[in-house]
Parts: sequence; C-alpha cells; structure tokens
Amino acid sequence: MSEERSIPLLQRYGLVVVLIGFYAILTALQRGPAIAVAPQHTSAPQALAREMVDATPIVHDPQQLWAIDAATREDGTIAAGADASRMLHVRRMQSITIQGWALDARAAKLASGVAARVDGARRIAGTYGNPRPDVARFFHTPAYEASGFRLVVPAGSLAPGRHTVELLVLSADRSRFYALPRPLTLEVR
Amino acid sequence: MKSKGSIAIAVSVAGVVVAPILANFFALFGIVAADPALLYGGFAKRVAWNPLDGFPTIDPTIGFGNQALGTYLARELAHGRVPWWNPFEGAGFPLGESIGIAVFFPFSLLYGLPNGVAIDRCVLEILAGIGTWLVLRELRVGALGATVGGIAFALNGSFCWIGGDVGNVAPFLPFLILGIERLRRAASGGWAITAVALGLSLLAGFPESAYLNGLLALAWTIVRFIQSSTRRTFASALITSAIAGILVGTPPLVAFVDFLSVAYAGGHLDGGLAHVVIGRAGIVQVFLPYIWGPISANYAQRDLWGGVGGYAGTGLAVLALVSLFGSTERRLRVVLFSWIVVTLAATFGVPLVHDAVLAVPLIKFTAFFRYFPTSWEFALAILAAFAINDLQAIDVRESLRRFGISIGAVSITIAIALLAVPVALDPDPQAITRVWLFGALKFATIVTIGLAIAATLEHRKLRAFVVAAMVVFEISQNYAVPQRAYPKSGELDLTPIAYLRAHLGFSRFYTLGPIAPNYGTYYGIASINHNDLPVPNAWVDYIHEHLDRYADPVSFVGYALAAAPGTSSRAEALNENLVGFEDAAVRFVVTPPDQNPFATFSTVKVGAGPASVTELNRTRTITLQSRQSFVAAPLEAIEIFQGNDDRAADGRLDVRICDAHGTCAVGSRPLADSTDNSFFHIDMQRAVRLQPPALTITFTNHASTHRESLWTYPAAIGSRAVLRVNGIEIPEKTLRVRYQFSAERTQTKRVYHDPVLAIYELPHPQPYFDAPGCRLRTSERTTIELDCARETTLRRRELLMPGWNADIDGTPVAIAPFHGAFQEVRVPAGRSKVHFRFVPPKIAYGLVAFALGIIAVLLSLVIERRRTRSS
Repeated sequence: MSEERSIPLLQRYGLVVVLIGFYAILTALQRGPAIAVAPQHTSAPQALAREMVDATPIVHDPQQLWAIDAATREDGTIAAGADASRMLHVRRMQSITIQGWALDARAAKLASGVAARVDGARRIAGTYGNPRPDVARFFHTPAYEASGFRLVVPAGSLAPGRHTVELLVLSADRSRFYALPRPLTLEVR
Repeated sequence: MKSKGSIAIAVSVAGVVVAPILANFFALFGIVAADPALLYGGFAKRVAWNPLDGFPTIDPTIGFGNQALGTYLARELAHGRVPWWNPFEGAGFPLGESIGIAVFFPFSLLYGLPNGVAIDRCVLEILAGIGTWLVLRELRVGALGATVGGIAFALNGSFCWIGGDVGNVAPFLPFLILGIERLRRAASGGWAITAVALGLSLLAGFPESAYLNGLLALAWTIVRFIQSSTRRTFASALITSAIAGILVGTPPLVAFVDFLSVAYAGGHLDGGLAHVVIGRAGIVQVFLPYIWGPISANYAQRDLWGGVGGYAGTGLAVLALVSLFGSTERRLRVVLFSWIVVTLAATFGVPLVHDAVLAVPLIKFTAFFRYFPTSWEFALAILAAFAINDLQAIDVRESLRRFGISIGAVSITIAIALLAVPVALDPDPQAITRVWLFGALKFATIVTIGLAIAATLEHRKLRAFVVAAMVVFEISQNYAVPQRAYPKSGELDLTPIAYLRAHLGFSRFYTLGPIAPNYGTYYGIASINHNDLPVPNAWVDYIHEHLDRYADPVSFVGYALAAAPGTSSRAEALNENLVGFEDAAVRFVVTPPDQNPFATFSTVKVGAGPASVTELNRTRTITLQSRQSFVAAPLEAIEIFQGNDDRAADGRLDVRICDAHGTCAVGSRPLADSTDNSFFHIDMQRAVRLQPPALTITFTNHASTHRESLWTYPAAIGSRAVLRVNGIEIPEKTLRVRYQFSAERTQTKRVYHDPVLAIYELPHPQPYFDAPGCRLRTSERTTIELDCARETTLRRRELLMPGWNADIDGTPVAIAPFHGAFQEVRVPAGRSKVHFRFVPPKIAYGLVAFALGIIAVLLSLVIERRRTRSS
C-alpha cells in the first residue's frame, strides 16, 4: 500500500464534503422570502431641528444612495457641478450652497433629513424634501420624488484655509446619520 | 516525428491564441450586436436586448472615446494624415494630446476596420496572453502552467470590464517583464524587447495605466537585481533600454504634458483621486465579480462600478495562495503576492497601506483604485501558473495540505468581507441582487469543490490538468457575463446623420442626448458637445460664460440629470444662451424625439401628500378641469405622468383638451411607446391655439387589454382643479400634466423628426468663417480664399490654442482671440489665401526623441546579430 492511500478518508475528502454542505445551505437560504418595498409619500421640504442635528449619532455607510448635483457660491457662480469631489474654492465672505438628492438605501425609503458636518465637528442642518422627479423616475418609485436636499454653509462661518464638509443623511427611522463617503473639500480664501 | 514536448508547446500556444477568439466569438462574428454606438451613441433603433440586465463594459469610454475618436484617428492615419486636431468635437479639440487617443500606436489602425473595436480587443488580448506565456516559459514553467497563465491574463478582469485604453497598455506589461528577464540572463533580444515594450506602453496613450504597470515592473526588476550575479551589467543594460523605450514613447508624453498646462484635468491634478477608496462590497467583488449583479445592473452599487477596474475570481485567488508553498522562485512569488495584497489594500483604503501607496510619486494623480488591477491580475496569472507547475511535482498529501489551507484562507476572507457588507445581511428589495448574490456564491463554491476534488487526485498530471481546467472554466464564465449583455441585434438611425451631413456644412450641432458626443467625430459632422479629458481651459471658460454655466467641464453631453433647484437644466441653458450657441456656429439642435427644448410649458400644480394611481381602462374616462396661465402660443403636446404596469399596458392613450370656448386639441399615442412611472408625451394632431385659463383635459384608453394607470396627487391649495373618473368627482385630487406650447418666439423650427430623435434649426447661426466686406471661397476648414474690398478681420470659429499657426499667402500672421476662444486674423484688401495649421507646440522634440529611440532599438538588434555571428 502506498503512502498516499494511507491518508484517512476524512482528511482526504473532508474539504469536499464541507463545501458540498455549504452549497446545500446556500440553496436553502436562497429560497427565503423576497421583501417588497412599501410605497411612501411625498412631503414639503423641511429643515431638521437643531437638537436632532446635534444629538443624533453618526455611522459610516458607503451603501447609501445620494448624489451632489452642484455646489454654488453666493454670487451664483458654480463651484462644482457633477464633479463636486474636487476642491471647492470660496472667498471668506461667500456662502456656499450644496444641492443634490439622497435616500436611505438600507431602509429603501426616503431619508428623514440631511445635514453636514464641518471639519468633523460642527453640524449644519439642511432642508430635505425638494422635488426630484428624475430620481423617482430612475428608481421607478414615485415616493422618491421628495429626495432633494439643499445645504448652505453660511458666509463667514469658516476661517481661511481648507475645510472638509461631510454630508449626513438621517435614516428613515431617525435613529442615526449616515456619513457619506468622499467629503467635500472647501478652500476658503 | 515531432516530440511529445513540442506538441505540448504547440497545443499550449494554440490554447492561448484561441481562448480570446472563443471568448469574444459572439462579438467578433456578429452573433450579438457589439457595436458600442448602439449602447452609447443615443441613435439606435430596433434594439433587441438580451434578457441579462446590465452592460458589457464598466466604462463607456469604449464608445465615445475609443470607437468614436479612435475610428476618426484610424481613418485619418489610413489617408496618410496625422490628425493632431479634431474639428468635429467642441469648437475643435487637440486630438493627439488627449488621453486614450494613441496617434503613434500601431494598433489604433484596427479601429478603422469593420467591427474594429471587437477586433482590436481580441488582438490585444491574444498579445497579452502570448506575452505572459513567453514570460512563464522564460521562468521555466511547463506548458500546462504557461497555458493557464496566458489565458488568465489574456482574459483578465481589466480586459473584460474596461478594455479600451487600459487594454491598449496591458499587453506590454508581460513583454516588459520578458525583456527584463532576458536582460538578466543576457539572452538575445532582451534589450530591444524591453525598449519596445516600454515604448509601446507609453505610445498606447494611457500614461496612467502605463505608470502603474511600470511600478510592478520596477518591483520585479528590484527582485532580479538583488538576485543577479552581474548586477552592473544587468543594471546598465536595463537603464539604457529603458531610456530607449522612454524615447520611443516620448511624443504622446510631450504633447500631453504640454496640453495639461492649458487644460482642465478633472480630479486628476487637484489630488481629488487620492481620497477615493472602494467600499467593502468591492472586496467581495474581487473574488466573486458578479455578486452584486451584472455590470451596473444594480443601481445600489453604482458607485462600486464607477471605481473598480478588474477582478481575480476565486480559482486564481486560491492558486495564488497555493503558489506560496512552492520552492522555486521564492522571492519572486512573495513579491508578486505582496504586490497583490498591497495594491488591493490601498484600493480599499486600509490605513497606513493606503497612505504609504499614496506616498509613491504621482500615484495620487492617478485613479489607482481602477487601474491597479491590470498589474495584480498579471501577478495572479504568474502565481497561478507557478502553482499548477508545482502540482505536477508534489504528492497527494502535500496537495491536500496546500489546497486545504488556501481554500480555507480564501473562504474566510470572502466570508468576513461579505459579512461586512450590509446588503448581504439584509434581504435586499432588489430581486436582482438576491439572484446574483446566491448565484455567485454557488458558482464560486462549485469551482472550489472542483479544486478540492482535484487536490485529492493521486495522479499528478491529472491533478494539475483538472485544476487548470477548473480555473479556465471559471475565467471563461466570468468573462462571458458582460458578453451576454450585448444586444441581440439593433440598428443605428443613420437618416438623421445623412441629414446633418447634407445640411451642416462647417456649422455645428448641439445635442441634448441623441448622437451623443463624440459620435459627431465618428461621422465627420461637427458637434459642439464633448466628452473628453483633459479639456482646454479656453473651451471650459467659453462654455461656462457663453453656453451653460452649470455644464460639467468634462462631460458636456447635454443629457445630464436635471439640475438642482435654482440652477438651469441643459435645455434651459440652451434657451437662456441661444445667442452664445449661434455665435459658436451652432446651426442645429438634436433632441430626443419628444423633447422640444424651445417650447414653453405650463404645469398643473400639485400639492404635498401621498400619490396614488387611478386605473384607466376601456370603460373609463378620466377628466381634469384646471385653470392654467400660459403663453399665447399653440398647444402642440401634453405630457402625463403615468404607469404602464411594467410595460404591460397596450392600446392607445387618447387625449382631448378643450378651452372654455369649445376649441379643442386632440392627440393619441400607442402605450407601447410609454415608460413605466414616467411622463408620457403625446403630440397633438395639430397645434391649436387655446384660450386661457380654463382647460378641460380628457384621457381615454383605447383598444387596450392590459391596464394603464394615471398617477393622482393631492390638488394644490387654491388650484380649483377638479378630477373626475367616468364623471364622478374625486375630491381634492389632480393629475400631473404638462402642457407644451410651441416655440414661436425663438423662431426655431423642427426640420427633422423620427422615432429616435428630432432636429431643430436655429434662426441665426454665425458662419464658421466670417470676414466683413469680403467674398469667401473655401472647401475645407483650414484654408480660405478671400477677395476683400478693404483690409479687414477674418474670424474663424475654431478654438484658439497654443499650436495654431496661420499664414497669408505663405507669410506667417498672428492669430488673435475673439470671444476669448475663437480665432481671428487681419487680412489685406484684395485677393489672398489664408491657411491655418495646428501642430502641438513641442511635438518636434517628441518626434526627435522617437526617432532616436527607434534608431537605438535597431542598432541594438544589429549589434546583437553581429555578436551572435562572431560567437
């Protein structure tokens, strides 16, 4: 008898058996129920209460659905369009308005609000619920029409230099903010 | 009689060559409609989609860049002209200086062939496979291992998902490594191979990818340098050949660097790319490429598809780990494995590693997360080949040990990564995710079961063969998924192209969607839109100042999503800046068939609150009375927000709109043209002038068997809208309706219309050439004959950039800017001939360098040949 044949069966085929078992578990799990998305309702744009903005915990979640359409300076000139990830330049006494849309993707619902966190500390409330028929159309979900947001970083609130602005999306159940990836970088001159 | 060994080698090479042909078979031989213009051109008709959701590529650049611009390049080169300038994009673009447009790259000519994009990709894949095969043979890997390695890199994730620019560069990584290996051994051809491979990597027109691949070559070189017993000779040969290679690749670098000084480069130059990391879902995708669905099919993962650039698959990952147990080329194996780990860690933002990788010069200016995969896929292919080679030399006990540990490690990595992704834990509302999530896991499990069974085989050659077969099977299946996303068939709507060709002259068209940029270039009709990078600063400024201040500088495409509140949409910007467009010689505006950008609209006001649907069938009539204020212009169309029950609705939707005086407009359209939960556009049979403010609109669903629904909303407070279904009032509800009134005020007119697009003509487009008081005669954009009554100014509406020169009857003359972007020259009274010419300013240095590099390569071959003869 050769040395190879002396290998115990479990040692030889154990991994194969485990993998076949895993395949069977996957097959069983795949038959689980599908979840339907309940229709939601639109509402007028609203700003979040100051207490909620400051007190709600923040978690990071790159799975959230959102987009920034434009960041505009106070004089109306565009600081960034769809490419808002690049550096935004603004003079010290100019405010900057950030607009876009966001959803609570984990809950598959509209979010409950939008805010921003500046330099990892100070929070600013935004308005949420602006009309975005294009978003509703894209997701085939009319309730998402009220997914637009608008945030204003006030004039004179930032010292000259570079600052980061993280967008925070309040979950549908209002339990937490989702901090969105890729903070904006703002350079105040 | 041939020996067994030579037959094995022949079969091995044939396998590497045939694999890409088989993998691309459907696209190559027209069994699917693989023309990127069908997907990205915006003028396709009668497209029969395959049932698989998603796209055949993650990067549409294959369409608007490689196909549209590459075909123009190939056509010009075939006619013996070097197209430094492309007059058909924007107000003119420096073609030879753009990324991805490889003027000196010989394979660019393939784009000129029918089905050129598919042929180009297949040829480059074969080249990549052959290069990898040669490297593996150089490393003394057997035929089976070399075959798997060759196929693995020929059909790698970067080719599969991106191709195009990345694919242009990829084949020259293995040839560069081959050159380095041969230089190390002082073997024949090493010097020339290194120089030519490096040169072609640079000439391929995508320095970002060439640089990242070059870093792997550098790591490989360092290993070999440490191992070398003749370090000085190796180093001197390598350095001189690298210099020759860089000289060969200099022209596009010179042109590109020069262009950057006057161009906008998106996020590349401001360091914005350094902050990009791929989410945790991407880690799983490295092993299970379609776990989140086919390419871009699952909108929840859209960011992921925008950042990733390739995949490994489960089998190759297992083999890479198995290879670490091998005894030959230990250092090289460790370095290649480390390369994979480090580049992936940087991609996924692992602290310290990410920062360390970004500290490497220039990395922060590259989309490393998207373009590193080519290099780690090559490393995987080499390691997999090593592993298969090893399997033929070890006993079953050792085989079980190596595979057991490796499969266990890969499984644990996948499990941890998967558990870290929220969507994997929650039942996902999008059914597509669920199917693919389990499908990908089960497929990977089947592959792994195959590998585990192979590990138990005592016959060593059979064991290696089964492992090789399982891995090639997985590679082929992963490659096949995007291929199945090509449409079954489709046609391009060429009638409007012919119309524009016949009527455009030197003028331009602006598109709000159809004939997407840069397909104007593809057909030789000038489109003022662009989709390119970098973009001349002067052109970006002109767009923002005169055309559309909210336009994206990189993608001036006309079909961007609706702008944020307070900003203009593309169509609104067009109306606001009509004179600016006309000033840029825009004569036609191309729109989707139902969109008249010059029309005015009046919308029924909708209040806040829940929306619902009201079914409309053959027995029902829905009527809305509303009070609208609108312009005194004929009503030409309406749009109603409706749902067609996921495309089930059939028959026609009839509409009748009457004012208080009994004047009515009627329209009707098949519901097969509608999109679910969208506005449905219905043209009136003829435009009718109605009297404001009271309008009654009546919808009936004619000859339907499946339901059509109209979305109803709360009526706005004070709107006095009355909604009735079969005459019964539904209190405080309204419909979402838009009335479209004709664009009399703009004097624009629709000159072409079909189911794919419409073309509008602007009333006062400025001519391309313009010289007051002169008679002009010209048949091309660069030469004009004038007969002027007095000295005057000749204006040419082509973008002014460094590199443009002009002469009048052979005498150089200065070009001045007008409107900050275009060109003007003073011309004398009487007859004269003005000639304009563009050459990238410093390209002469590049051409001299190129010639020196080529001479050096030829000299090296001559010297080597003499040495061989004398020895």
